[in-house]
Amino acid sequence: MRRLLYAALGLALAVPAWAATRTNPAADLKAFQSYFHKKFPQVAPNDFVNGPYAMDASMRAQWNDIMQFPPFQFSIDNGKALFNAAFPDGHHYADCFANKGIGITQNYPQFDAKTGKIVTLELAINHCRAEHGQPPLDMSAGPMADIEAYMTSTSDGKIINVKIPNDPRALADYAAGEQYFYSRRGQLNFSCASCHVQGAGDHLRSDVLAPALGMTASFPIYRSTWGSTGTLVRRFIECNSQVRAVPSKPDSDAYSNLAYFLAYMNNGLPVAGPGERP
Amino acid sequence: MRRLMVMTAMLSMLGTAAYADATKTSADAALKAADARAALADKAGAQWTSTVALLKDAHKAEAAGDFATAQSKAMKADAMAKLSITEAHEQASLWQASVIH
Repeated sequence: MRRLLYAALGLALAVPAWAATRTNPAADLKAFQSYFHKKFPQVAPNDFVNGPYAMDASMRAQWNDIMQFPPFQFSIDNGKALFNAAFPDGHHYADCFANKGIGITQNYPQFDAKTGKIVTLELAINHCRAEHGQPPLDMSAGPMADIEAYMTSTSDGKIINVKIPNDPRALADYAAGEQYFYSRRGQLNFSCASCHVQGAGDHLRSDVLAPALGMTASFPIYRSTWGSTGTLVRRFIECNSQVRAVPSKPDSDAYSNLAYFLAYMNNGLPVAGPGERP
Repeated sequence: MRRLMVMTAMLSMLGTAAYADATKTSADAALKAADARAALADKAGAQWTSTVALLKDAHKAEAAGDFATAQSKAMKADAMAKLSITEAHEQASLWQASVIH
């Protein structure tokens, strides 16, 4: 039994170390961004944050009209009120974050060295609530999306700067997110990359498939299809369902790692959120 | 992958007529096998929503005494759960072929 325990412990230590030796996020980032710049030479690098609107002139014209009265403004306003409201213990969300939570979303998700896990902004908000005796919020929409919309609005234009420390666990989390992104799943046998890398810029009926580059920069987003504002996790769940795969749990490591990988791929681009999509 | 798609198409063409002589015993056995396989797919994080829906319909038909439909749907669900596990096993290494380098 003891030998089995040692073997399990050895494996647990070896897997992150193995991932660390095989993973080179900086090289991945360069190749990823270069792929999209070559595929869409007509799109200015920073315009990738506008997703399908960077690819299709008529959609962009409609978007410009929509943005005269941004549909996510209600979320920002409600999110600001929620963010500034005191918890029953007298503390605020601002007490849980660096710089009082203002202008910081470009640094998320983050690796937590204490737990060895990735912390997305949604998880950080729920951790904050737990610290102050509050139940967690639904991570996909509603008050969570509103608080995130407000916090993201204070980062609008700031450069995305997600860090992957030289820690085998962080590299393993990143590698797991990368694997999730490129793995086909569901009855339709699609991966995230099937639509957002290989199919980026193509049409699915009247929709233009957004490129993976820039994708996380505009979240949370108001989607006309949803009729409300939703988080990145909400989109992950929707994508999984669309390919007929049972989605993971909103607070799962799978989604946090995927968000970590995707956000890192967007390093150097400006935050453009909250956003609006069809 | 083409083989998977052909098998899925063939499965979807199978009607309940083929199970006209199904009994409660045979339907129960098919449901038990399908539930077990679906649990494996779930554990592997490979479950398809279509498998879950079929299983639900199969249990509903069984409860209503329609054993032919129950057995037919359970067998389809079992085959789909098997395919989803195969997909996950294949992707454990195949995903690397899609990575941008």
